[in-house]
Amino acid sequence: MGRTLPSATQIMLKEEAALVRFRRALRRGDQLVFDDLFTAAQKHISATAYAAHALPFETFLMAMLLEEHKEVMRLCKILETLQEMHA
Amino acid sequence: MDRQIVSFPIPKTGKISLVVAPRAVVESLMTMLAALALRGPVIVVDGGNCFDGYGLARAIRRRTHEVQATLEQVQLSRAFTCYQMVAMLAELPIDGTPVIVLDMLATFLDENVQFAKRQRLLDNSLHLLRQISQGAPVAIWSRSRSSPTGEDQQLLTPLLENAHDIWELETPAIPVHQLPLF
Repeated sequence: MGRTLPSATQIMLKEEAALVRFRRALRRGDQLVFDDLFTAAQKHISATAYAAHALPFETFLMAMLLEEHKEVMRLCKILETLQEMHA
Repeated sequence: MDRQIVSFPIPKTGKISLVVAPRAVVESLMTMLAALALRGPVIVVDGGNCFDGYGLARAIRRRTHEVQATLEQVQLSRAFTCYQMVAMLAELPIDGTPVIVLDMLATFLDENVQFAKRQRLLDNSLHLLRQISQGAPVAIWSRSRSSPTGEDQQLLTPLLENAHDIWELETPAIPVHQLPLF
């Protein structure tokens, strides 16, 4: 009888394809950042599938934000360590 | 199909609206379905496993932030054989709830069932839809195939005869460009 809904990976590919014109209009450097964001969302694809949200793109955005915040926290920790070293 | 068409008018009570179009029309149908779901319960009978739940959620989100509550207004049934299609239509309540049938002819193109039997089952289905349409809006989508067979046309004819409002949409032909000479 087949699938009745596309998988999380299929949805992500579809969303990425929907933004292809936006990506194309970006500068080369920004295009790489754009790709990084989707790579970040890809890391949480199993959680996205489990969530089964009616609007999966919102979950992708949350996954991207999660990775960004992790990076901010990591940099804050490095900054604190550097400040302690110089104090 | 004309890309200008983004949504169909909401079907009216007492009429059967028919859309004959390729699969690309699903997005527009989901927009119409979203508009109906905002008004109250809607019944969707899917004959071709083509219901786009995520597309519907996006269409609802454009109109309201209460996505979950609106989605719950949509009752979806999937028919995988023509027998199931008739049985599902026979069980539908006649209480004014709008009915949308997606890719209606898909199950009737099953070559494992004798053509005469399929025609009879389609007539039964249309009879049931006519009864429902007396008190509720009914919309049917029949997918136009890229290479239609004789059976396709024979099954489509009764649909066209029973429908009151008909939209026939086609995929636009790819324009032939003259190559520059210089």
